[in-house]
Order: sequence, then C-alpha cells, then structure tokens
Amino acid sequence: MRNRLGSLIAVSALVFAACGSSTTTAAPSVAPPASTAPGTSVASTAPESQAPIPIDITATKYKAEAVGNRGGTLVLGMSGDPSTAWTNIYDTFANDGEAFGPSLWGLWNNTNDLKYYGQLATNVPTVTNKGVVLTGSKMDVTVNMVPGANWSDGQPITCDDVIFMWKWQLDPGQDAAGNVQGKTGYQDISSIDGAGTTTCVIHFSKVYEPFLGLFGPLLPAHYLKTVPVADAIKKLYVDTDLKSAVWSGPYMPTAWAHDAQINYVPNTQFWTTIKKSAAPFDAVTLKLYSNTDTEIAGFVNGEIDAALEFNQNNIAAMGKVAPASIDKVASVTYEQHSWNYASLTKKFGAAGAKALMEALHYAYDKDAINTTITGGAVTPTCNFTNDQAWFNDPNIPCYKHDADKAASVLAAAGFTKGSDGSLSINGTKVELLGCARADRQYRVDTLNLVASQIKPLGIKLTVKAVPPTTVFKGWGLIPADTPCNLTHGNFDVAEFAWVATPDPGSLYTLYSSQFDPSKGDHSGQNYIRVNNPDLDALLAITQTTVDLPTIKDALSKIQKLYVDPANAFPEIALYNWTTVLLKAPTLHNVANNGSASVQTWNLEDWWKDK
Amino acid sequence: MTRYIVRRLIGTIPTLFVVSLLIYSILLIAPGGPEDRFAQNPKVTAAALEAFRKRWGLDQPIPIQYCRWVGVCNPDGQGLGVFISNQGLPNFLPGFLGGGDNGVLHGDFGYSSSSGATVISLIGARVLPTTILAGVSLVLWVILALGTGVLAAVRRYGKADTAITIFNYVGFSFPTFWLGLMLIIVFSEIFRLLPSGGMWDARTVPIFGTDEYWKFAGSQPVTALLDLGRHLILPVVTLVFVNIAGDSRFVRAAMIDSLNQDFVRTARAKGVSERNVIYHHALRNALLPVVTNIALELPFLFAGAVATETIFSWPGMGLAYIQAVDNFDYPVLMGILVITAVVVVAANLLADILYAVVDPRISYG
Repeated sequence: MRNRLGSLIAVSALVFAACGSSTTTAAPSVAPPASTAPGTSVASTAPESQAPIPIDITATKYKAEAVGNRGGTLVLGMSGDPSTAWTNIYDTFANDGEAFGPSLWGLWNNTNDLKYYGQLATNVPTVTNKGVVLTGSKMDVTVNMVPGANWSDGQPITCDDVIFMWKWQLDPGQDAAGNVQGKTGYQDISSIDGAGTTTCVIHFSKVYEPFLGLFGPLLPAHYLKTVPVADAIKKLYVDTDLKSAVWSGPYMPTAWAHDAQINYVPNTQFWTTIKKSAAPFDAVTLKLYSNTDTEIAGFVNGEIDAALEFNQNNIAAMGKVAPASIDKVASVTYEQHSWNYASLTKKFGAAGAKALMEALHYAYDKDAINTTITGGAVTPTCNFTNDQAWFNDPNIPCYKHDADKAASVLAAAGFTKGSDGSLSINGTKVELLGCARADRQYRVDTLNLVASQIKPLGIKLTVKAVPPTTVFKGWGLIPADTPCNLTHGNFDVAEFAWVATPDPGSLYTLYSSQFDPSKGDHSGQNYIRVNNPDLDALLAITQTTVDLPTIKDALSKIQKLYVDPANAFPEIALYNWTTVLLKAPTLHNVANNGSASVQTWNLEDWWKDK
Repeated sequence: MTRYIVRRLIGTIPTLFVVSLLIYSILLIAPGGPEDRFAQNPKVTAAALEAFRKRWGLDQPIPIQYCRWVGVCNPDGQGLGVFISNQGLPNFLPGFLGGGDNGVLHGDFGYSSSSGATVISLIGARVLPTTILAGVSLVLWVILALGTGVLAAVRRYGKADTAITIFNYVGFSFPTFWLGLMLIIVFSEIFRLLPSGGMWDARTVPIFGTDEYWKFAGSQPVTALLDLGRHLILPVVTLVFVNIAGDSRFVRAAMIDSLNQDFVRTARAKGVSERNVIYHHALRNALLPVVTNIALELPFLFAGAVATETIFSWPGMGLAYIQAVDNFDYPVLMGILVITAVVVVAANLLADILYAVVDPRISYG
C-alpha cells in the first residue's frame, strides 16, 4: 500500500509505507553537538556558493496520447475497500487515493516521473517563475487557478475555496475529527489574498518549502460550510449519499457498495470548464476485490480492464498474465533497516557502534535479499531517494557487499571473536534484537536472512515478530519497556518501509537530532537516533529555503553521508519497492506511478480501443 | 408452549447482557483500538489523538463506555446525571417515552470509526448477500448431507459408504481458503469459465441491492438470476464441500442408530417395503437430532462465512467483519458480534421449539 499524493507532495516527505504521513511543526534549527554522532566525511555543511544549476521540477516526460475513442465503461479493479471518500483528509490509505483522487483534485499533483503539474492551478509556482517570492524570512506564493473552473454543482472554483479550506484546516474541531492532513503548513499561512478571484496570494509567515503539498485535495467552501467542522466526516462525502457531494475531478462517484464496487460518471463541469473536451468514458466502475489473488484472476478472466495497487510481493502470482500487461516501476517506497544508534552506542561505546555500523553496511548482501526474499522482483539500493526525484544525485556510487571488509573493520575497532565464535568488545557480546511486524512475513524472513549473513562475523541477531501497533505506537500509548517499540527505542534493528515524497523536506523529521523521539513531545521519527550536527545543518537547509539548487546541493551531501559506510549511517536502505499494475492492451495513457500520487493520477487521459 | 417461549425470551435478556459485556471486554482487552489507525501517523498529534478519544468516548471509564454503548447512560450527562436523558427521564427508556436516543437499546449502534457511516447501514447492506450465499449453501449441503448420510447408513461398510466417508473427510480436511483459491485458479484463471469473485458482473449488471439493480432484475430476471448464479457457483461449492461432512456424518450416525431400533425391525417383519422402512420409519426418527443441528446452523445465514466471503470478494457480513477487524473498527465489530449473538440465541430457541414440534414425546408445557 502506498499513501496518496496529497500526503505526497504535501507536507512532509516521508511516510511509513501503508501508514500515515509524517511532518513536524517544529522550527528548524541546528542541533547541539552530539555525543553519539556517527562520523561524517562531509566536509561542508553549508551551501557552497556556486553558479546555480537550473532545476525544472515541472519538466515531465509524460505526454498524453490524444483520445482515439470515446464511450463505454472503464472497469478498474483493486483489492481492499477504501475507508473514506475524504482521501488525505481523514485517511491516507492508498486505496482511498485510487478511488477518490480522480474525483477531488488538488492545486498540484505529481506525474509518474515525480515532476509537479498544476491540477486546479494553471502552473507550479517556483522562485524562478516568480510564483514564489521571499521577503526576509517570509514567503508569498501566487496561485493561478484555472479560470472558469467549476465544481460539479456548477459553483465556481476560486480563491474563496483556498481561503476557506485554510481556515477549515485550522479549526479546533479538526482535532477531534481526526484530520490526518494536520495543520502543518496551514498554520504557517498568515493570510491569503484574492477572495472572489482566481489569483490567490498565499502569505506565509515563514519559509515553508513543501507548500506544493498543501490543498491536496482542494475542498469546496460552499459545501463545507453546510455543517460544523466536527460533523464533516459524518455528514459530508457520506458513502451512502455520494451524489449530493461536490467534486472537482474528471469522474465523480455516484454509488459505493462496500467491498464490492464504486460507480462513477463523468463530472460534466470538469469536462466543460477544466478539461474542455468530452470524457473518454461514459462511466467508470471500480470493482473491489478482497484480495490480490482474486484481483489477478479477475484481470486474467477479463472482468476488469486494469488492476491496481500491486507490489513486488504479488508478481509471483501473475504467471497467467501476459507479460505486456504487467507494468512495473520503481516505487518511492523503500524497504530499509533502521538501526538504533543510541542502543548500539550504549552497548558497545561510541567507537564500537561506529565500527559495527560500518561493518554492517558491508556485511549486507542485498542481492541475496532480492533473490531470496522477493524473487528478484526489486532493485537493491543503497540510497533513500528515488532515481527520478529532482533532488537525487545520480553520481553517488553504491558500496559493494564485502564480508572481508566488514570483518576487518570490526577487528580494527577492537572487536574480537571468542572460542564460541561470538563477537565481543570489552567483554560485551554483540547480541542484537531485530524487529518486524508479524503480519509482514517477508520482513521477518529478511531479518533472518541478514542474521545468517552477519553470523559468520560472530554477530547474533535474534528476530522478533510483533503486532504492528507494538512497532509503531506512540510514546504515551504503550509501556516504555515494550520490546520492539520504535518510539521508545527498544530495538537494535527494525525493518519497515518509508514512502519518500517528491519533496525532500520531511527528511528533517527522520534524521534531525531534534526529532529523536526520546526528546521533546516524542513525536519525532528519528527512530535511528542519529545525532550528527553536520547532518542537522544540512537538513536545516531544506527547511529554510525554497531555492532548489541550494536544496539539491544539501541533499547531495546528505546522500553521500548516508551512502558511504565510513559514515556509519544507522539506516541501511535495502531496495525500492516495485509498484505494479495490470492493464489491458486496449487501454491507453496508463502511466504507472510509483509515488503516492497513485496509479489513477491521470485517469482523465485514459481511453480504450473500441 | 407459549409460556415456555415467553420464559425463554425473558431468559435471553441476561444472556445477551452477559454476551455483550463479554464481547465489549474482549475487544477492550485486545491490542489496538480505534485510534490505532492514527498511531503510525505522526501528523496526528498527541492532542489530536486525545481529542479523538474524547470524541468517541474512549477517554471515559470502561463501565461508562459500555453504559453509553448500551444506551443506559446519556453521553451528555455528568455524574449521576448520566442515567437521565435530555428529556429528564431515565435514559434507557424509549425516546418516545422520554428516554434517550443513544445506544443499542434505542437501535443506535453508532458510527463506524473508520468511515463515519452508521453501523446499521453498513450491516444492513451486508445481510442480504450473506443470506443468499449462506442460504443456498446451507440448503444444498443439508440436502446432500441427508442424501449421502442416508446412503452411507443404508450401505454401511459397503463401497458407497466408504466412498462417501472418504469424500466427507477430504472435504472436511480442506482449508477453505486453499480450496477457494484452487477453484479460482482452475475455473477463473485457467479455464476462464466463472468469475473470480464478487456477486455480480461489474460490466453489465448494476450494483446489487440498488434501485437500478431491482429495475434490472425486474426487466431481465433471467439474466439477473443467471449472473447471480454464476457468481454463486464457486463460493457455494467451497462451502458445501467443506461443510457437508459434519452433517453427513451426523445423519449417517442417526440413521444407523434408527435402523437398529425395534420399530424398524417390526416394520420389516410386517413386510413394509425397504424404501418405506428407510424413508418413513428410520429417516423420520433420525431427523430429530438432525433438525436440531440444522437449526443451530441458522446463525450462519446472518454471520456468514468469513473465509469464503473474503476469498471470493462476496460483499457480505463475513467480509465486513474482517474489514472491521483490520481497521480496529470497534463500533462495527460490536454491532456484528452482538447482532450475531442475538441470532444465535434466537436459533437456539428455535431449535428447542422445533424439537418439540417434530417429536411429540417432548412437551414444554
């Protein structure tokens, strides 16, 4: 499962695979020097003054083919019932995005190659095109909305909607309603000009770099106003009364039979005022299967034209699917091992932890993980970025698996092997606890495989499978001594996936020492307890500027720090997930999207041969 | 009999109370909770989580939560005032008598904590699909169980008995999910003869249960029935194959017992044909425990088959239950479990009544 775009471009950048998105409201700052900081070979922590490299975050290679046939019904398939039509507002379940993303547009979205494009906005504001203007520490963003665009009920889409949604998001009633989009970003807006027009100027009281993730989706003010905020989830976009709801996207839902089907019809207002063409389909049907095996069989059987939301774990079951129908792309979701640097430091000392972490990087045989665990369905990686992310530095090489090097690093640091073959330092045996959620067997298997890979070094890794909530539950919601809880740091290594967004800003909450969950309000996601002033300074750059070359330069340094084993970064990326969809050969313009934008991101362009 | 029924009905009240209390307690003891779907989302702050808990009443002591859910307590009340409705009378009374409007006593099962929809509407939409699947399966497996059970008993230790016994044990041993998947692979993926899942053809048939569907079924009844039938075949085969064994063995044992009775020997001595001996004498008596057994299987018509509905994407109660478990959707879970408990208690009562009806020797007077 992946999270939907809104969250994606939105706000924060990295989210748990299949979980919620991350973010923070804390102000960026450089953390104090760390006692447990892994070393770094990154010499500079400040942006170097050099000629800026032009970066165009809108330069997509996606180009829709002209519609060659109109009419008929498109039947999509997906396993799992969406939870709510309020996609990315009250839930971030990927299925919600697939089902309702095409019905409710945002201001901006991401293409399949992770570029930005305007949905209800005509362009993507940047510093270069003067859409973003910095004034001291403040920031103004100009949003040009599609002129003449209407909601499905014929009401105009204007800055009034932007203004109302901003205030609606900040309404105290949202807390109790469980709004997952949160207030981050919205609370940094001081005012919005342009009421009644289609040119809005959003005034931010501080630089808010991930602003392209806000207002995804944009909600209709006149519809929201009809009920108090606290009642919105119960009275608006109700599953039994979708016809009375207000939509902005190309196809709007008319009926939802849970666990069975959702029906859509073209939103005539969209096609006349936004797309200005005829809808390719007379109707769209989303058939909901309860499991991926049945969905695959349904596709083979011709029940559906496209089957959505698969990953590498489903490929083995696609033996009866014509290879040409299997569309695979590298996902922004990456599987990784989070090593608890604080725990390692406590057990083996600062030098010992650093050497151990460096050795572990070399000891992992990721090719073996790929072939053994995923059947070769993924591409191993050493990095946290997707190749297509605008801030990715493709010139940073991956290190190679080298068991001998791992052994020599450990020996040089004073680790010794006892007569029983176990590794120890200063009398402390290297015995570690690995954690994974019990309902993800492949993670348990991966940890066991890694345990076998590091066993020759004398390292004993005991793998524990626990309920998902045990792994992820927050600070005050679980006893502090619960084994395998990330927040309390009761683990040595844990396997889970992060969903990267096309924006690098959220790395801040993952790797900044400020967000060590043992500190502050315990909401940070720096579970690996990395505490590195140089890294903090680089991460701070992503929070204080919207100058893309500057950010890219900082990210390049962070990537180097992450990838070079000598830096002993306590997170080991294993592989990018593979996002898979099945499509009938008669379908056109299907562009599999490995980001949280979901696979129906461009549904308005899809068409089918007669 | 009437007095017996009334007495039993009154007796169901404490039974259901204890059952609901147990279910409620078990759910609260189980790891996770409605707010857990936000636990992995750091954008939902601790304050927001607390507000969410407050909104759903999860911050209240467990007895109060239960009391509100039942409808004895008024969620707006404070102190002892929780027992008083907004109309000033005991909250447990019906609304038209001045009571409250919350809780199961007032027909309010609350809202799904994951979708916001009312629990009643969610459950209501699932009853008919489950009843159709479970009903067809139950009728078929009862008929087949009777037939095979009688045949096995009459041909005891013969080839037919051996074959039926093997068939029963094989079916009984098959895990439902495995058998279902095998059927899908063979009949949907390889031979492409039958749909892999769902209850209707998404391309040609409107959503089941909607006005459009009933109009469609009215104008093209044969097409609608054939479509439903095609979608029923694989899940029904799965359910029948897996469930026939129990009843078949039960019928076989009852028939053997019956065939050994003196009245059967007497009937044969009197020259009654073997067919009449089997069907009019032995079977009628063997049916007594079988009827009771079948009556106790009736809750299946409501509760559905969790594994089969999940494998075949059948939008019934079993699938709803699994979804609610996945989403920690306690209001929906409570609704399904408590209504199921009511149906089970009712089925037990029905079984007892039927027992008296089919066996004149039994009197509840």
